[in-house]
Amino acid sequence: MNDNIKKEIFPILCLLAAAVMAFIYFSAPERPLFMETQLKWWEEFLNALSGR
Amino acid sequence: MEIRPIDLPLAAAINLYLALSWHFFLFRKRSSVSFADRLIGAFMLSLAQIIATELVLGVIFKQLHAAPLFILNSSISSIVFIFLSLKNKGLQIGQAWKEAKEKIAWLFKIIKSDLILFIIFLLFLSETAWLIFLGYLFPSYTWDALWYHLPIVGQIMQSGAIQENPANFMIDTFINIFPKNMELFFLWNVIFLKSDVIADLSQLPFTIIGIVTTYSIAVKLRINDKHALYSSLLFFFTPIILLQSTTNYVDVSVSVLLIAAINFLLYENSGFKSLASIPEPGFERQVPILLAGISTGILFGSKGSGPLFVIIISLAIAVQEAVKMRGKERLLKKSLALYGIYFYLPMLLLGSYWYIKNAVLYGNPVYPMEITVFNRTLLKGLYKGMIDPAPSLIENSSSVISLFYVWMERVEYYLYDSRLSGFGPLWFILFLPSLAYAVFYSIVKKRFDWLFITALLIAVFIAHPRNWNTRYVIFIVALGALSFGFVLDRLGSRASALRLTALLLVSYTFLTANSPCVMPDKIIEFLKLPQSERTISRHAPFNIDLHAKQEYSQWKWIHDNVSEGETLAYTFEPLFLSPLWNSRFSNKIIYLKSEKYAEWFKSLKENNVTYVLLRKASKEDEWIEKEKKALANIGGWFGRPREKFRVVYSDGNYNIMKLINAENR
Repeated sequence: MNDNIKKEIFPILCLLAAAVMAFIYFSAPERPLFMETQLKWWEEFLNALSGR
Repeated sequence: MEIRPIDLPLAAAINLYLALSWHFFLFRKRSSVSFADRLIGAFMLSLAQIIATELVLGVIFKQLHAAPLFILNSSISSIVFIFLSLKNKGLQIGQAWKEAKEKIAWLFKIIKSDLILFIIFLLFLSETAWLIFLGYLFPSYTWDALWYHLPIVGQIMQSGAIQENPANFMIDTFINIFPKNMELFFLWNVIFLKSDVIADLSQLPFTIIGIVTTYSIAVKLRINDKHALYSSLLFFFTPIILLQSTTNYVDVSVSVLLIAAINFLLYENSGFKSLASIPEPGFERQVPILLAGISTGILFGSKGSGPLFVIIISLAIAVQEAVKMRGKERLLKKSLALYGIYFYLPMLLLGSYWYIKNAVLYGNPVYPMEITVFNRTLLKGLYKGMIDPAPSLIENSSSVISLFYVWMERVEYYLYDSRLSGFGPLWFILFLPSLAYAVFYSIVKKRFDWLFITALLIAVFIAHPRNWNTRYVIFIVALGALSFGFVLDRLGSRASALRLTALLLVSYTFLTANSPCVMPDKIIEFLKLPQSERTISRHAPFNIDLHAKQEYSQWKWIHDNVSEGETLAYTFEPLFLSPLWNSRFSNKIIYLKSEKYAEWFKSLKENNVTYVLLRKASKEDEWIEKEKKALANIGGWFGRPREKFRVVYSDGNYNIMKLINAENR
């Protein structure tokens, strides 16, 4: 494999690795619950700020 | 208790005075250490001065109070200023100021050149402001802070001495044996303000120094400045770092001290010799070695795991020096002397006291840990392994599976001491693959500078018995962040997609690293309260709420009523010791127990006790009740009964009695 091909492939490999890891991370069974907890926190925060 | 208007400028002045004195000192050494390292160095020297002066006043003179501490520190810094003024070219304030302005302008120029970096920087500024706001608004609410970190501060402040206290309960033993360098820094943040209001922000300066250190290491690893800034700012967006920055824990501090020590040792690595950023003419090898020794010393005396870090750093130094020595044995003596004087001497001065004291008093420097080698007990202690077991979810898994389970963060929320999360998505998605690549690349290309730092940090990580617990190994995130900077460097102009991914993950962390201990309704409620009413009882964070509900009322009473100079006695093991002090730590607390009423009462008098905290229906409560009834009967015959106690607080579980003699004093 010559250097030019390596240079072309490397960014794709990096993105591929990040995509695979992101898929594993965000597909954890607890992730929706985590998101829900955080959304609730921000909802409460915005409500508290607006005085509701 | 509100901060008095006079205390705030005094506290700010002494901190500024210390930092500036060491900054100007290091400015004269600018041919030996870079600007970023002088910032880190000034912080480490100031911290070393704080710890050393507190040790001298607390251990030797037993006079660790605000006035002597202020006088001693301002005198030392004045001596530094006078010494610098008398030297050739004087203080060089103008030059130092000019350099600082140039560096800030240069920093903003780089940040402004990259929109993604600029947004990350803005998020960093916003998050830092948010952390300062939360730290100021809420009292210290974390479990270990209330259990032993702040009680250590309270005990030193009430006695003015760093000494062993009677070990009535297990926690007292731990309070006695723990290395306390970081608690001395917590104390520093309380003693001049006469308030604990910003004590919980004590780790935030370490977080900032961690960012500068990551940047500085990145530059030494020949990562370009822009990507070095990416590395450093991304390191900041680690949930466990964000959450711990407003707590009186020591984990961020410990990891930052470790990477700071390694950063200074990198000047010694032969892989850096050609680096343009390290000035060659006038380079004094001993300056970075001294700063590494100071950082390692503070680290050594900050946590029980200190010796582990010191051993691995020493091994790294030995390997580094052995490589340099090849064929030049005559250099060995010189090197030994250099490290002995500039690294090991300051390290021992700053960190060894706690271990020597434990060796003298308990026959074991790492007491209560028992040290056994080949089934032979070398040092006797209370336990052989870790006290608290790993969470059941990973208890029976292999190390690798456990690590991946924790790094995947299969939890519902982040917490300052979460055992199953904390590194965030940046670590898992970007840093981990980057680290694998950086290790592979450095082996193939023989990048010894990279190999040195990677081997060192991975060795500490592997050797750490609790490496699955993210808060104990925060330093490995710095290595991941450096690796990501390295990958960005390799990608050059083709890194846009990866940088954008980093921004998305930073934004995700920014939005999701909220602690369930700090809920929005409490933020609004506390904003409306005067500072004196922002107490732990009113905060009632979920992490302690279940266990502490029945304690809140008496804590509040103590907070509101026990004043400076008064003594509160307690007769049982409280949930936490910390709330028995007021927020100024200006009262005293003492555990007094006896089998006989007369003896107990005598000890109350001898210790000038003002209040007694009792459990209802306890032996002491019954004694007092019985005496009260007896006196009431006598009162019928001889006039007004002379009671010894008056109930000043009562709830379903506790009574607080005031000694009537104390009331009359």
